[in-house]
Amino acid sequence: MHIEFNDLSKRFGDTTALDQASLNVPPGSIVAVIGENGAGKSTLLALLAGVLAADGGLIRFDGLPFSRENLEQRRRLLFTPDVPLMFMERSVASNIATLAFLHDAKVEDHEAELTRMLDETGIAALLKRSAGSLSRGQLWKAFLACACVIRPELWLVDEPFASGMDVIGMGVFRRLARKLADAGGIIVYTTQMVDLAADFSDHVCVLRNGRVVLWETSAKVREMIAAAPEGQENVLRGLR
Amino acid sequence: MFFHHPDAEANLQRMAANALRGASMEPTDRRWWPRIKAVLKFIGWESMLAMILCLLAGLRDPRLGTAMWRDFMLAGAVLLTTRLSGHRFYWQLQSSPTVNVLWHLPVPGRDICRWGRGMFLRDTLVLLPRMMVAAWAWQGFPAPADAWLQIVGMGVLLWIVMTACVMHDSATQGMGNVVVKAWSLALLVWVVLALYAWWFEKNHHYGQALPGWITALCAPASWLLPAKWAVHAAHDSTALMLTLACIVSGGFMWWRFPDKAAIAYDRLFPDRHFETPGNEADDFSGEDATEEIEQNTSTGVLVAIQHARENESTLIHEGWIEKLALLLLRGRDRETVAILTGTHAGWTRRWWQAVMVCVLLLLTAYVLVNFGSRWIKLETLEAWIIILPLAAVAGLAFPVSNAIPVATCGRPLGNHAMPFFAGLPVSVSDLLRVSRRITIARMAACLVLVLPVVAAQCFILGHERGITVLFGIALALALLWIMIRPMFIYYRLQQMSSPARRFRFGHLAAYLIILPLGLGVMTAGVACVASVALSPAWVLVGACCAQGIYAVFLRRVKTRRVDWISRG
Repeated sequence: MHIEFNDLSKRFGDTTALDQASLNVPPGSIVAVIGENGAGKSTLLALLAGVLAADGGLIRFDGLPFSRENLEQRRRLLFTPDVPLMFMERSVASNIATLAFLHDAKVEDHEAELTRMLDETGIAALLKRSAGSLSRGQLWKAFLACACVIRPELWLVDEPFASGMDVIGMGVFRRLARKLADAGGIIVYTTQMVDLAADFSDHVCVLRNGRVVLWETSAKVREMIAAAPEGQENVLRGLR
Repeated sequence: MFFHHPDAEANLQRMAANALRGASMEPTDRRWWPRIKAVLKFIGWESMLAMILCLLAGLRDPRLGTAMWRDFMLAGAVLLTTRLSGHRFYWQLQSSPTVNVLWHLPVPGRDICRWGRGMFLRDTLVLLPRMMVAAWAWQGFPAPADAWLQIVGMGVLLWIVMTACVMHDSATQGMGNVVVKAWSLALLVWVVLALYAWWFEKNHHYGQALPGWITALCAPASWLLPAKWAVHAAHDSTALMLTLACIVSGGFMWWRFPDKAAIAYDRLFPDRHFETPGNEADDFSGEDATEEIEQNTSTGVLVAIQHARENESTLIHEGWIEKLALLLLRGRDRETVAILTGTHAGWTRRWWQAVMVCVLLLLTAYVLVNFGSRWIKLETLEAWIIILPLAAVAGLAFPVSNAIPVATCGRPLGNHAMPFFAGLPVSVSDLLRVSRRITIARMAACLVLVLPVVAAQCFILGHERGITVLFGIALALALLWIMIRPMFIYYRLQQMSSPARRFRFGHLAAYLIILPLGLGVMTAGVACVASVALSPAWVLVGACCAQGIYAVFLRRVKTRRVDWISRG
């Protein structure tokens, strides 16, 4: 999977959420999108997922223009907003089965890994519970199980490190994301924690006022952080 | 950098002070179009309601309306407005976004209830013009210049009584007491009589007076309606006493409301103040947890997930209509529909309920027509024999809702459903295809019920020749309903999405295209009813217009002009 977007813009009334943002993300990479509050991080993810429509610009998946109505493209991506979208009145097991079916994925293909993940996160005990009765952290862990089965080629994750998951859940997320990236997929996640973004990513994208002000490898960003006492703030402002 | 900005600080202090007095802290929207739109919407809506009021009261033709009938209709309309205001009041205190925040803040419950009461009063002020129109109609449309004082006075009195009634209703938090139940009953009678009057007017000359039994029923029933007391307070001592009692007790409840309601809300929602979605799961511990972990670990996981899916898929097979719908669906759609319809569609169950109600009503009608002519006139029964069974079918078996609530954001799911639909790989075309096939199955089931009911009605009333005509109309309407499905998909989706770009001309142009197409669908519907036989041409016209409406929306989706998350 290779994604590319050019001059992507989005306005909400008088507010410009994204202003001609462009990026070319290579396959097999984890991208951390960071920025100040209101920088346009979540809007970028919603545009890439097709939940919002861009005012201008073009998104391409593997060189082809992305269209929300193109289900072949839609089945290759998984969008996880800050509160994962699950059928709240249904059981966790039913949610995993449903999301897998809609993405043309087979649960039995990943049984061993799914079992291990569910045991590790404690969700195995809650499989028959309705998703609506779970806490936010548990909901995220259950959604990780869905992602484990779906194996998206493009996984768009909004604020996974502010999800309420414990360190076990965070560890599972990291391992799953790395595994998907190693298989050629792309993981784009948002966060506000600069050091964490530099530690867990291949590339860091900094948004400021809707514009991409920095696009660097994580190694370079780690250097920038270490270079000055206010390194993290400088990265967030896009200052090299 | 400024560390202290006196102007900004003063501005914030002013905004905070205004907020404490009930004003919004949000910056004022200074755009002219939303304001004009709101005013036009208000005028249009109120004008339409005023016309309906006048129509119902029979005042369009003075020969039709007797004073008793006019009292009953107008007082019923005021009570209906009152009940709707009451619902708005409950919503304000139970579900509005602001109150959801307030209940989670360290604010005393009585202050929140006081705030809700204030908001209710503010919202209800806009109903004053409607009350004035009712007062004007009540007085027989005198020249406003001559009788403005009486109109305004009566309008204000009606408004006060209406507010008092809402407080009566709210005293029990909508759980009802004897008074409120009596009003509900009166309202039900009012709706039924209004429908009957509409039917009567359609089928008789305007000059003919309403049957005597209606006015006989209206006389006692109208005394249950508080607006009637208010209107007659000036010249009837009983009405005056009732009005005063209503206002005084309503005023007392208004005064006591914040304290009483705060206690009632605490009882109704004990965990409301610190409610978190995770409490139930966090409490999951002990033996149950151990047992469930043992069941679900290792190889049990796959079994549990597969069982969940199979279980969910079989729920849709619960009755013959559901099975029929599944027969019309193939491959992926069959599974999709199991997800999108929710777990219990209930189409067959409701169909059987309709069958039982219709059989009961038709049997009663047969007995009354053949053996009850001594006590009741046939002409008064005729309307009920036609309306009631068909109303039962329309309410229980007509494919009008509960088809794909998860996908098309059925009301209970609210704002959650649209991001869901947007986030999943399900397209607009998928929704239309699934929805249309479900409608075909449900409509076939509906016709299986409607056609014998119509035949039985004609037989009981002795209009055997009309059966063919009615069959033709029923088939035409059924076909039209299936064919205009795209319009409903458009309606549902545009309701919860929002225009992505503030390109007003494009938005306006879409509506300019949609409006005549919508009129085309309505014309086709009327023509199908008016035709004496099946009219494929009109069905085709309706289908083309509905498809046109859907195509406009689909084009907007494809040209990236629709956001799937409504931003209000």
